Amino acid sequence: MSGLLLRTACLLVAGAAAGAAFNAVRPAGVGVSGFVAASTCGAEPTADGRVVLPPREALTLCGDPGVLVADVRSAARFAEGHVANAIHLPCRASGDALGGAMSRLSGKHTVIVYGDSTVEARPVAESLAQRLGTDDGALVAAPRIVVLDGGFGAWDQAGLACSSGPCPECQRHLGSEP
Amino acid sequence: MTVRAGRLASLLLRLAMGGLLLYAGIAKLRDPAGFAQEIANYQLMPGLAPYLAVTLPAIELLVGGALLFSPWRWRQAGALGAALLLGVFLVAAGSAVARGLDISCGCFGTGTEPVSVLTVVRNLGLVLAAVLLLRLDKPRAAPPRVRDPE
Repeated sequence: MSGLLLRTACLLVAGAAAGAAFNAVRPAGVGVSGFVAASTCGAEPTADGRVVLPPREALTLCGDPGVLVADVRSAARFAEGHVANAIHLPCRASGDALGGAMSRLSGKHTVIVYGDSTVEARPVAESLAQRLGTDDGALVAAPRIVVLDGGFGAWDQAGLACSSGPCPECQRHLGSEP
Repeated sequence: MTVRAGRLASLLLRLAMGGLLLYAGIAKLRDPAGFAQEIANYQLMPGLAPYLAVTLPAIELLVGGALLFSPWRWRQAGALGAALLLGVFLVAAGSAVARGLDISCGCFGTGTEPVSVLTVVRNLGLVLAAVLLLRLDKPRAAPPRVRDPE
């Protein structure tokens, strides 16, 4: 019995060590030390105009490694379809959800936030912006937070990449870059 | 259950569970940052999210590989490891459902189905399957000794 427990512990520890080593050498690894404690989505939207990007304009940023797209809708809506390569940021469901997103902001210059509508995404955008503004030292350079005009519906209607699969529009965009 | 039926059931369980863990591990490795986000959404220990996102996929791969490709002693360790791992997932999913969280499961990487009672039932079934595998998987019987005629 003790042999079994020892071998099981070996498996788990070896797996954890291998995962940590692999993450350290891969370019797309998670920055574990840069993880920021969780925040809330409850910030009130400010009156000043947050930048709102129409879908076609947002598409020009698609594929840029410095851009992060965040979906604030419910998990069910996200699973039905979302902007390709978007992360799920469920504001209403999770008060701590921003914490995970914050860890992804390292090296990003722009975060595009969207919901089912522009109004739905605004509080999350404001909350993100406020957190980035108050957490001195958490990030080297705070990214620009913008809202997708019209939300996912507008993106979908524009015929842009909106499934969980690969993003052909992004690939074309990348391919056309010099 | 006859010995033959037990061996067959054990083999099928090993293949299914090992394959599932390998698939889940590979799916999670594709987008570790997204997986960290999914873990943070559970609101259990958000500070641990990036560490879990880094280590869990590799543990799943190793445990799955042990179930599929290793000798009996390490297969047993793989079965126990799978039961522990899936037990943690079961507690996390059950907790999310109990608190009414509307979040993605993250079971097979980012963008997978929402956590629901079905997720909890599935995880419970997997934990039971891992425990069953631990009991059913027996070492190969040693070949009978041939007595020296002299």
